[in-house]
Amino acid sequence: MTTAPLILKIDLGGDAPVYRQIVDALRHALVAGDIQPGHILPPVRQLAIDLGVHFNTVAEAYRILAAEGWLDLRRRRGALVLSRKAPARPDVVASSTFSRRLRELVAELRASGLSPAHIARELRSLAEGLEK
Amino acid sequence: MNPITWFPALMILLLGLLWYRMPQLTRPGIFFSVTVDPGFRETPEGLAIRRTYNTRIGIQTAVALAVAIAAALLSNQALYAVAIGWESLAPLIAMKSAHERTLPFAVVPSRVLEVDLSPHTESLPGGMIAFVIPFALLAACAAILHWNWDQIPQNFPVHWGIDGNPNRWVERTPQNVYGFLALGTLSCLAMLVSAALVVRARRISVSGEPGRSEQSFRRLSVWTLLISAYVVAFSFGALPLLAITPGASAARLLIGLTLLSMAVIVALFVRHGQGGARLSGAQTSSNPPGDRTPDNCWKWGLIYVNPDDPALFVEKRFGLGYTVNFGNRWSWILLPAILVVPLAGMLIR
Repeated sequence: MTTAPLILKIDLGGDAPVYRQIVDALRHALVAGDIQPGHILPPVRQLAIDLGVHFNTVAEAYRILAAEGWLDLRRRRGALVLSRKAPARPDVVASSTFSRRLRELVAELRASGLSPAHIARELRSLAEGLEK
Repeated sequence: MNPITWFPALMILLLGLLWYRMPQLTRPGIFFSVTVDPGFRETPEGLAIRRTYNTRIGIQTAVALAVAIAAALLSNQALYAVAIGWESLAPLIAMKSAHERTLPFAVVPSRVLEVDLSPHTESLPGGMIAFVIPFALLAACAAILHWNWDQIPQNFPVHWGIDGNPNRWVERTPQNVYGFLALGTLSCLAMLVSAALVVRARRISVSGEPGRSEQSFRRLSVWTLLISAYVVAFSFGALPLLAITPGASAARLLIGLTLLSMAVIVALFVRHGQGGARLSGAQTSSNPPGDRTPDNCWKWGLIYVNPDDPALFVEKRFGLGYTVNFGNRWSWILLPAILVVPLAGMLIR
């Protein structure tokens, strides 16, 4: 169980749809271990009220995470975080998608004016974090 | 002259003070129902708006006081109603004017939201037992009335003046006797359901002093609704019972209890203010301004209508406690039940 307050940050004015931002932020916290198995996330209704977004937006985000095996959705009682093991064999499609999306992202960042050195530094720091 | 006849004048004076204090009771980032920079109220423009509002409140309260004093001297009940009605509604014009003057200084609320993913730990104080007691009280009153039906006078009082003497009577019929209990039950249900929903109301500030202050405000609001439900159950239950145990002292006790509970509740809200109202600008600087409700969804700065917001209860921007989101269809079911007490008071003839 986590003891420190667990804060979810959403940018309503951002480019990505809100449900996608919820999925990304929660998945990041789950992968990083900030949210431990056994933790109960707020019910759909509660999170939607706190965020001021439609119930379906939160429900869709929870459904995606449940389909990935992260959550067990319980009616009115929130979403239970499950202990999820990484698949034994990496998905080939996911691997090629990852490479393509990473290249696209790097291109987008360079187009927006970020220096190649800055991007490389960020990627290196991320890679080092993964290897620890 | 009965000193109690001066009670409305005192009430108007207290109402005037409440209206005067009202702009200070909201969050620092809300000023006359408009989202502003937390420091705006101390700027020359903010102070000028506040001064004009205070002057208007002063004049309107003086007019209401004059009418209440005339009512006391002439012993005129209608003038009492005019004075109280004026003091309750006329300040809204001053508020609306201040709201319109503040609108040009509105800031765009932050689009970045933070929510706490920890489970909500708040619950209804007393749990299910506290929820059931008011209904048990009303059921017990119904049983006592049923067993003592013959002792109920053919015409029994249902309304008392400020001197504690009855001034309205109704016939002894099952509809009239049990009707009050049914109204009380409906009203209690609405208040207790509201309390349960306020427990789950939106958490705007998630950490630090603003978070704690908001939590304490929510707790106060829940206790207020719970106590109100008990007062309503007690009053509506006691009302027909007074018919079989007549006496002005019992009626006075009932009126006194209701007024005392109202006074305590208002005093607590004024002392506490709305969620985070008592915090300085520095304490709230890490929080984005506003209350996560868009300015354009507040009609006249008082009524919240936002069909895109799933919240049923939101913090009032000008006033004490919470208000319903009229854009939520459930509000149209809950509101008539909440208004049943004042409506019943007006309809009893």
